[in-house]
Amino acid sequence: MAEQTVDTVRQVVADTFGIDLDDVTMETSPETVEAWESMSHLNLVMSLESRFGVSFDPDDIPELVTVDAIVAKIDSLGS
Amino acid sequence: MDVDRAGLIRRHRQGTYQDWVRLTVADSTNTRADIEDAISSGDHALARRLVRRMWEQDPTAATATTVNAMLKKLPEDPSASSMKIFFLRSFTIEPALGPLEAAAACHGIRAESMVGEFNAHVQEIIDADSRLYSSEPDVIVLAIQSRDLVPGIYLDFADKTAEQIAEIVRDAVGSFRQWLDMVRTRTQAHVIIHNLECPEFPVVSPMDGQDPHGQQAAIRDLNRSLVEIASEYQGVHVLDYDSLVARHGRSRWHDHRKWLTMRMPLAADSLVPLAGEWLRFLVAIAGRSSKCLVCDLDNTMWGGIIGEDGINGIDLGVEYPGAAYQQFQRAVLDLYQQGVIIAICSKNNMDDAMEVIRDHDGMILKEPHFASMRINWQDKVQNLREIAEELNIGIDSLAFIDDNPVEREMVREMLPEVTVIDVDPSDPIGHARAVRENPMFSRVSLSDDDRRRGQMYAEQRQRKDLQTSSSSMEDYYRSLEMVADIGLVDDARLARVAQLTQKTNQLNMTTRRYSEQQIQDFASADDSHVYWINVKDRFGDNGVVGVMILLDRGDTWEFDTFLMSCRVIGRTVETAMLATVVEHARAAGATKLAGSFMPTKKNPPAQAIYESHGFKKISESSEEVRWELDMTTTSIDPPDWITRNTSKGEFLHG
Repeated sequence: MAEQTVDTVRQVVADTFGIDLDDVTMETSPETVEAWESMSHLNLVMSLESRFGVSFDPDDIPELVTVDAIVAKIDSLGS
Repeated sequence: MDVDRAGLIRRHRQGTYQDWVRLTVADSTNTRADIEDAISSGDHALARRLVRRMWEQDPTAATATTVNAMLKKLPEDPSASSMKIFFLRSFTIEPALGPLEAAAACHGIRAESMVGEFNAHVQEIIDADSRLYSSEPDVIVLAIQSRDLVPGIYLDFADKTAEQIAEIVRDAVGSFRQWLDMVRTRTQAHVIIHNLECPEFPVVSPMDGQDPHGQQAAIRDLNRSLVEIASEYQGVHVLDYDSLVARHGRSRWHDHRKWLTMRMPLAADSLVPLAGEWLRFLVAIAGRSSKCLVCDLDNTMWGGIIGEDGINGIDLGVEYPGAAYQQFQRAVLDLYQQGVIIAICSKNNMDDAMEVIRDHDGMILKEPHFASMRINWQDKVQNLREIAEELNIGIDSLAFIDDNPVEREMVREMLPEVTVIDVDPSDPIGHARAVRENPMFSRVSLSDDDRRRGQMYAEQRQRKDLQTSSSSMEDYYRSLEMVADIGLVDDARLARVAQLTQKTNQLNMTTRRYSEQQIQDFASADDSHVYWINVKDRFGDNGVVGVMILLDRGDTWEFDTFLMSCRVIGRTVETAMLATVVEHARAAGATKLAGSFMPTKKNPPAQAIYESHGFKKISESSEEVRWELDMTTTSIDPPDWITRNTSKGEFLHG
């Protein structure tokens, strides 16, 4: 798991939901972040796609709900 | 490069030139840390500048998220214009709003966006109590996709006859007209309508391209009609969505997977271009477009350094790399033709530079295109201040283009209100694009005055020469041979009158901004009159340069608006305007003429006008000074060196 990917994902998550970077862990999810709802999830997905130059499979998008899962998916896309 | 960034930024604030150089040259990958540092140390101006740089260096949806997060930690930018934008839409538009807010903030606009329900635009337009109207937006965007508005053409074209297609087009045109009629009875907000896009793959390919009854022809017919309809309303603008998609690449614009799963048709990389297109309209509607482009010369206007390479050594001509600089000059010339004033600011020997400007075959721009030239060794910040003063425009109306990052950084720091445009001297092909892409030169209407503006500034230079050679002011006024036409606003002048209320800052008593629709409302009301004044002189036609909106309260006529363009400042035109109003107000039986002066940062030049024409001060607060002229005892004599054509017959009471 690339360190750089983890840091960047945490940063995008923090910026998208307006929370402190320090509060974003690998387990951060809609359970722990109030602002993480369906529309802001789409914003997060678009930000990640533009930051990493990837396009997620629609079937995977609903699964990208922890930092851990996002990092794993991006790594598997070879970015 | 190993740099002590915190130390640099600290010294940077103390402002030594060497630090500017190092800060500019130093890598900027750590901009985010710099921004946070600037915010926590309370240097909001620096933070805003770095946020802007972050956006300009990497304008993507991801950066927008960061930019917006940073902006939330900053207090509101006091110099920004606020705009509320309501989106009526048939698709998931939300991910483009972050990029819009980020891009707008970096261009002086605080954009607050609101979104209607999916495919509910018809109900929202019809229902007078809908959020569309209760939220009182400044701008309404109507973003309906082809597939949603005309599925019969976009999706199920193959089984239609030509007659059926024509009927679908007629229906869609009728819908647009109905919607606009209804919107206009309820709000005067500007309306931006996306036109309809052609499909990526026309049904009958490749024949569709030559079929007058083909799928693309039907959509283009509809788009042509949309332009006609929009022109029938004030403040309705067409966003050429089809061209935007084509410019970006029809096959790359969409994300079909997200469309089918989330009704989100746009690819992540399309969000910023779409936001950028909206921004072009917002900049123009907010009246924040740059009035003047100030160009550097060496490595901006031509390749090389004239002082070292000489007139035969610089790159400028039909061959690359000179051709790239010609493309840049063409882009600048295009701006000139739309009324942007062009100026030069260059560190050079005047004679060296003028030799190129006058004699080099490769120059597309010629000496008369330049309204002001500062070619000297003075620092550029001072030169830019002087250019603004000479042209009588605000510093915030200037855009500055220079290949030297140090010069740009100094201007950004010292004159944050100037729009600074980056160009890279190692890639001159990008110069023209940097100008054409910049949203600060966008326009939503183009008047004849706009087209003539460059020429008018050249005439202004001649007037200055005359003034210098005249023995007295009166002698100068007489030698100008001024003719003033004064009239009530009509369709032909509506756009210019509204434009003057939106753009005039200095000689403006109340600084009230009005749309064409609002001017029209004043004009058609019984108890208000909208006057314009057009001034010609021996050097040319200055165009419509003044506006007065009078509220007729029987015994008293009151100025809602009294403004004059700086083009004719110091030529007693305001006296001719006031004298005319006094004549008309008296003829209508009024005895008093009242007006307010509402001070702003920019209108001190207007402060003394009422007093110097015999008005008495009635009351005074920090927001407003009220003046009144007793017309039974005081007259205002029209200056006898201005010939006035007021053609009384056409006027108010007959």
